[in-house]
Amino acid sequence: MPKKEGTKLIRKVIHFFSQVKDRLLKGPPIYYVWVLFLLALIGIGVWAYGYQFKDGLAITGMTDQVSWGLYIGNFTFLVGVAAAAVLLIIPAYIYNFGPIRELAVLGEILAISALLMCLLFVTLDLGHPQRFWHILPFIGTPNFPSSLLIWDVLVLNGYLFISLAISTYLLVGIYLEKKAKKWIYMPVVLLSIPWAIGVHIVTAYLFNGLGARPFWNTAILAPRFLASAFSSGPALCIIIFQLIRKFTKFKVKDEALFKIAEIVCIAMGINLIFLGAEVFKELYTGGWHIAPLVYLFAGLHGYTGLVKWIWTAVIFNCLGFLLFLIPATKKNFVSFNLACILIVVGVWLEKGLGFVVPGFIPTPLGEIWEYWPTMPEVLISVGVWGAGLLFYTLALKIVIPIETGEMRVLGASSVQSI
Amino acid sequence: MKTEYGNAMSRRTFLKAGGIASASLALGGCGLGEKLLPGDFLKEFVQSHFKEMRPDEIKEVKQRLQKQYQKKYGREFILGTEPPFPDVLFAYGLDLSRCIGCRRCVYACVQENNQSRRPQIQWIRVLRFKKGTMNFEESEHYYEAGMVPKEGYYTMPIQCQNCENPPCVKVCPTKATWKEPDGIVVIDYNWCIGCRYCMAACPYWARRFNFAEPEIPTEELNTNLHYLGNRPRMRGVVEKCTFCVQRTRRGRYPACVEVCPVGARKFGNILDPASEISLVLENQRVFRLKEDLDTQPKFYYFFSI
Amino acid sequence: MVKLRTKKQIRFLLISLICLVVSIEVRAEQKVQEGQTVFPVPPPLVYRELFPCQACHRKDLRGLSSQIYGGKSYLGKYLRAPDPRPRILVRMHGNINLKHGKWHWCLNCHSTDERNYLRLIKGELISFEESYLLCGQCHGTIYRDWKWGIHGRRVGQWNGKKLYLLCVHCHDPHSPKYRKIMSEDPPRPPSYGRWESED
Repeated sequence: MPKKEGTKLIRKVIHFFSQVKDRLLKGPPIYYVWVLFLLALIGIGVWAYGYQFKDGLAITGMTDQVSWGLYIGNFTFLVGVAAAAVLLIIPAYIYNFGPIRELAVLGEILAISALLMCLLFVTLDLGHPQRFWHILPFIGTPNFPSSLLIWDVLVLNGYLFISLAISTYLLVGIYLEKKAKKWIYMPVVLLSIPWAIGVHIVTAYLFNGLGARPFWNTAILAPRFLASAFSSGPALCIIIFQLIRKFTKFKVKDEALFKIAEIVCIAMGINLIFLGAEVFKELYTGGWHIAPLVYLFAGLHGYTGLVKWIWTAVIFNCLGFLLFLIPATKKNFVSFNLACILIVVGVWLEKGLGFVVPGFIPTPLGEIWEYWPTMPEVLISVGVWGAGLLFYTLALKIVIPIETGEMRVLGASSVQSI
Repeated sequence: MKTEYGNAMSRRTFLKAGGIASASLALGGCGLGEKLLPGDFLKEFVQSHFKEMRPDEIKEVKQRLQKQYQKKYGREFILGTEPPFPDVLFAYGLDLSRCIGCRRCVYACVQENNQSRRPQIQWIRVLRFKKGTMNFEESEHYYEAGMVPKEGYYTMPIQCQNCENPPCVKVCPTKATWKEPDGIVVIDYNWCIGCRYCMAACPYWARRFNFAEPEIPTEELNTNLHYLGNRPRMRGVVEKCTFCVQRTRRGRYPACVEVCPVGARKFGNILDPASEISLVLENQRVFRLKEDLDTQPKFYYFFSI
Repeated sequence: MVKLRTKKQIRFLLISLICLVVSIEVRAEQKVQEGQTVFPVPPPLVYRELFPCQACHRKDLRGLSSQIYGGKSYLGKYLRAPDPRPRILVRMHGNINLKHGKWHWCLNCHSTDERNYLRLIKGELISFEESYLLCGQCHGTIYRDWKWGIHGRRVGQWNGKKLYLLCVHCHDPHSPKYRKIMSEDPPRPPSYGRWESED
């Protein structure tokens, strides 16, 4: 490479990093408040983790009776969020639906943030995180293909890699003002679609394949996982996109939001049908297999810890579904946003608390021990959410200017001022 | 005697040796290695899976663990790694018509297998049922101490069933738990990452997790240890009944069998037609828990009267 | 009915009957042999307290008692020839509450003349270590299960030397119904996070 070219490249790189620095450090007051808030959450989480580091998982509400709790519940919900990014990719790249196409990269970044949170939650749940290398090939002894946990590690990291690859390739293309080559990114985009669905199916199978836990051992589990993910993930996207529209120069068309809302509505409808099918089959058949379901919805032998939460979830989901269904409310932004929030919260309750925990209640020996997260457990989880949101915020601070054309490579033709 | 363990140096060992070398170089280079990370900590960190250790590695690990236990508890330990006997498949029988629910087995097991006293870990759970019922949900796990047998009730102790088709082994992501040729499902506590997937998979609620650092009074320690059995565990790993591998691999009966005051517990080699357990299977009507799951427990319940 | 028509047939029947009886006898003998060799047992509980019985129930001093003790001492009475009549024991062994089947009398099982031994129904003497033979006379199926290891307790090695606990290690022979014992404490319910309580 000639010397001149070399120095030019170096200058470009230096320019890029100074741009990044400016983007991350400068912003409106609300940006500083938001970042400081997230840093505070992370700080609290780290402080609470100090207790877990010192005393072990005993500081959580988990016991031998209910051996997974809030961490795995959050993990399950966030895998759904990550998988839902594919719903933005399908209309954007397969059907060439323009308005969503611009949003697809933001969806990918959300997926990456969600996956990072997933990996954090799983790591926090381990008794010996420093032994993680035991699952690696060559130096460890991964129980592949027998253990679904290995499958999950594979598909999650694969999805992380694919998402990173697609979004980086597209963004770098825009930044350098080079047209992205379809033959390069399309195969990866096409691969990412089944992969995203696979991520959530494998996570469902993680729970699904356990004969010991009748609550999870039902064939409709994976479809239900997908349906609930495809309603909560895009609903979260709608809220985030409106915030982006409000605080940045990024244009998000109403058309795109309504299109995504349609997806949410259909997915939630299917989710409710699946839930009904599951509840009917279990309750009408009867037998001891129904115990966890009865515990969840009605309480068992006087223990009713989750009843109010699951009914809140069901009501929220139904309300959100109806608000998206009725023509008058689905175009009104107040009810529209309310529906989104209802669905995100509803699905979080359904999958976070209402899915993982009742699988353990009663235990295979019929003991009922009611799980409730402890304060440090909650704070650690909040810290992880803070870290994920901080990552997403900072990533958007770089990504959005690139997408809007505010940030370009040194010497580009169409640089706009900040 | 056939040994399962002790393979030739594998690619894995080679890679790991490289890892140790580079790690110790890096740490040693700055002279902080020994201070920050004691050599034993590092050795424990890079320790191999039990089944992949060469005999000299096993010897080294045994010495290190013995030293470590002695330092922690101030007592001498005998740490064995006896391989399975050839042509032996262990099975267990429990006579429900004899069991009186005295929980002697629970505490003998705690003592023999060095289970944590605080927080309390017990591998055996005794369930009490009203006569005529057999619904786990209606069983009593925490019935008060009192004179037993109590009229109108029967009791059923449940522990690891050492399944022939164990779902816990199937799901373990690191192969840290496996079924030995003599049928015992064991755990390498130094290989378990503590994900607790096996606990979710076990239909018999037989596995326990060390949520906190286990506490055992020094004078109550059992110093006859087996690597795969009752050696003191660390925080953050799963443990379970191994049919007292430290006793049965040395020819003895499990502790719960010997302590049972009514002789309800039977143990032996199912491949030997003259063993007690074979005669139980031949002459008694036995059943296994949750047969529909096809876990094929080697733990048989029967009613002799 | 088949009629026995010839002497031959009758003779055959008689011979086979004799053979049967003899074989049963032989098998009974073998049982005793087997019992002596196959079942090592821990010392019977009676060895800890009263044994040897013949320290008191002495044959050699019978008839001497009145001269030695002037007919006054309790011991004197015991040194008389044993009284085989069933009665309630008052002066000695009064603590034994015989609640075992319908057949209440010491000398059904204890030998009248050789008190260090037990007595089978046929009159054969056995030691206290072999008491399972005595129990097995009535409790045949349980005895069979005990020999197989289905009933009863064993300690030692599953693949080698073991001790077979006798029937009387768990069942008081005079009142064999299993006595109630105190059960151990229930498990503690799991503690809810160390954060909240240091129980």
